Amino acid sequence: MKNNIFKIRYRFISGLLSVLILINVFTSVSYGEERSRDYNTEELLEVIEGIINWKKSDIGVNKEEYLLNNKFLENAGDSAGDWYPIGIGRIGYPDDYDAYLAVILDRISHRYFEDDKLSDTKATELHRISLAILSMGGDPTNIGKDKKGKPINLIADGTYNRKKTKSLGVQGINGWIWGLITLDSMRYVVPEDSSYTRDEIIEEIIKKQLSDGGFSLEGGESDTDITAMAIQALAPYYNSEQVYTYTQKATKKKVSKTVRQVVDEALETLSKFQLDDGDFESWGAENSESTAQVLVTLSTLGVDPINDKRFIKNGNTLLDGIMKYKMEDGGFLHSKTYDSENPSSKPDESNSMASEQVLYSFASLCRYNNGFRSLYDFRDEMDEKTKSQVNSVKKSIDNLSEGDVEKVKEVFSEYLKIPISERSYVYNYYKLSDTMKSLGIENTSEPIAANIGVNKNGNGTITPIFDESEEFSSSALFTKEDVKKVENLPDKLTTEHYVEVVKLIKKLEKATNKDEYIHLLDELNDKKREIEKIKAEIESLNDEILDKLYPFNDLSIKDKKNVDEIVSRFNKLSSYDKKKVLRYEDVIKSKTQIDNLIRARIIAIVIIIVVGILAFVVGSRMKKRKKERMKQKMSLFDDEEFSDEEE
Amino acid sequence: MKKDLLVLAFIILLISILVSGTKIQSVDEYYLTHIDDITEDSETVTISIRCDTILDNWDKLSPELKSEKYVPKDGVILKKTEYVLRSGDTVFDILDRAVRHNRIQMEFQGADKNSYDSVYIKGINFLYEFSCGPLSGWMYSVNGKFPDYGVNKYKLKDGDVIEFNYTCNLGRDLGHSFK
Repeated sequence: MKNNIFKIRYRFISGLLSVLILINVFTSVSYGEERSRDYNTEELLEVIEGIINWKKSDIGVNKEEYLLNNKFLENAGDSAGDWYPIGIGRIGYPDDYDAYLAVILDRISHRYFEDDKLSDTKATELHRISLAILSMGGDPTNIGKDKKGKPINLIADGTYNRKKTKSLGVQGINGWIWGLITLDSMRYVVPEDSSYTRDEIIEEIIKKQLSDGGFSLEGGESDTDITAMAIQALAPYYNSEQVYTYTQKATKKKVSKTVRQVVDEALETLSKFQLDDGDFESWGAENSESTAQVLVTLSTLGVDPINDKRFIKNGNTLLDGIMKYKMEDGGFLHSKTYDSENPSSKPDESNSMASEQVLYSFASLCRYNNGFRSLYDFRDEMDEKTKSQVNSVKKSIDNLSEGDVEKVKEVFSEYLKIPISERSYVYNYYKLSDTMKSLGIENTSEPIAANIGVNKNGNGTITPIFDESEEFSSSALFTKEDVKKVENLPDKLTTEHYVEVVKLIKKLEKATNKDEYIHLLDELNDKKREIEKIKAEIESLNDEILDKLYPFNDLSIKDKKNVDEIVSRFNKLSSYDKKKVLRYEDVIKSKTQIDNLIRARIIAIVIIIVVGILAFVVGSRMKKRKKERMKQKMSLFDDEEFSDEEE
Repeated sequence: MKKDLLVLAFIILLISILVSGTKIQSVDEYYLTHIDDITEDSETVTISIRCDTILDNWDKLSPELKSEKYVPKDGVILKKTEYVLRSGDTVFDILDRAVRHNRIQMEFQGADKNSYDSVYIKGINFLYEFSCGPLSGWMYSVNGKFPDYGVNKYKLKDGDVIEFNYTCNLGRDLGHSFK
């Protein structure tokens, strides 16, 4: 069957090919050497939609349905789940944002409540979750309360106060990079008594710069992805004139640099890394993800990703480099080279991680092209006044002529009127700074790191780029349909219903007609508690199994009670929940082993009884016979006497 | 008299059954309870779990783990142990069996929880990723080779030698280098 389709497609393609070749002759004539092409927003959005549709079919939902459906929501808060919502939210693709938010928030607060460390060591988990919450329009500084009644603030715990549990650097440079990205996602204010300042985090990153200008996970040679991410984190400070003096780890030399110097060197390195097709490699393999990371980097920094000469190789741009990996089904490949050691990413099959990274890198490019905030800046878009300020300064800088000192001073004073937290959006500021330096004009701009914080909390912004008519207001009505959904919940709940119940609770809590259905809220909360009980029961069963069964050799009849209890508790679970009990086959084995032991004991007892009875029977028979023999002897004796008498 | 002898013989038989401990089981039960017994013709693999590299990087180890309970003096958490290979067994199955049967703590991330679609071993014997520096974590090798995909994807064959080793330097201290 598959073969047939393939053949038909092949015939179709070869037919199409002959037509295409003809067209190609004309296009190459008319366009000459120019091979790279620009993509307009519409085309970029088409690619994005293709990825989302591929992912939908990958998890088995129709195009018309939401990607963030109940099945997808099972992974809310995990690395398999969180990056698609980030891509979707940043482009404003219509989907079930509230559902994702409801589930991820509930899960996080639950994990806090249970003291179940959100990974003791991995700060990047907190970072990823914070970004996902923001991208869905939520507020990571305000997620309910922990066990002690203290409000849960993921930003504090994941960035400026991380040191209170563990250093951000436990997992290496990644922790610092993503810590800084997260801290700047809303330009959060770092409170006085925090364990880190922005400057400390920045310094931790830049001092890990390698001698070739780039960055890597562990020293040695620079890596494309880490270099790209380091620049993404440093981007808000590109326009800062603040000089950092530190000892570079790789060279052990004391250096004094601005963030701009560091970033420029790193960009140079990235430019050198770009391959002839426009793409990049990492760990020895050309791949789409590394290229996507560079695209995010350039569009965050305001370096034109399509036209900047440093990033065109052999006529190919980053976009050509990425589109090389696009598959017919809309998804993207990780790499085209087959790696027999790595079967999880195939050279002929769309890959989930590659697709999600291309998705958000294209979102990043769309944002740049249309003048929206950068990918990881979740604040409301600039007001019109600031926007026009920024644009006019940008224009003035481009029009500066070298000698005009007064004009340069004037533009600089205009630049200083822009709020510090917005100055990173004056992408060509470096030109102004260079001109001022060459003219000997003092640069009095304030250090950015100490002044960039503006928000203590607030919801992330969803930008309706994909569909401008889409409205993302979070207060909605609790509809008749929703009521029906509550009624449709079965009496015997399973953990499968968790997502649905949490979704409904959050929706009702936010609804403007909440009072009308307040009785349903109690009912739903009861159901949620019931499901939580089942979850706890599954966890406890898993612990019991680990604790009571092993090693099998030591199992004795004494363990019967434990094993029987596990079996009966297991049998009370629904078939959906039974699947969540790990290694139940070991329970069956233990039960059989113990039952056999008991049977052996019963048999032993029976045998002993039988032996006893038989022994008694034999014994008594022998006694009886002995008696008889005695009797016989006696009677013989008597007979003799008798006969004697007779005689 | 003959009858008695027969009964006596029967008694001796019963007693010998009792002494020899013969169990009376169905075939299924026998199979189930003896699934992991190694016989002459069973297919087997071996597994070992070690953390020798931590001994050389003691200063990097999280202070709360600096104890023989977590890092045994000889670096051996589980010495080379043989397990019966059931059909379809992956490296994860054997690891899970080994840590369960030997009561060794283990924490993993399920395959559905990350974009790699792979089971990720976070910690064994309370030694976790990053417990001993930013480049530390668990790696596995089969017959000396380091596969770069998840433990749940590696299907085993008869005679495979699995080693779980803790690395403090992305595998370089285990003689593994990335291409």
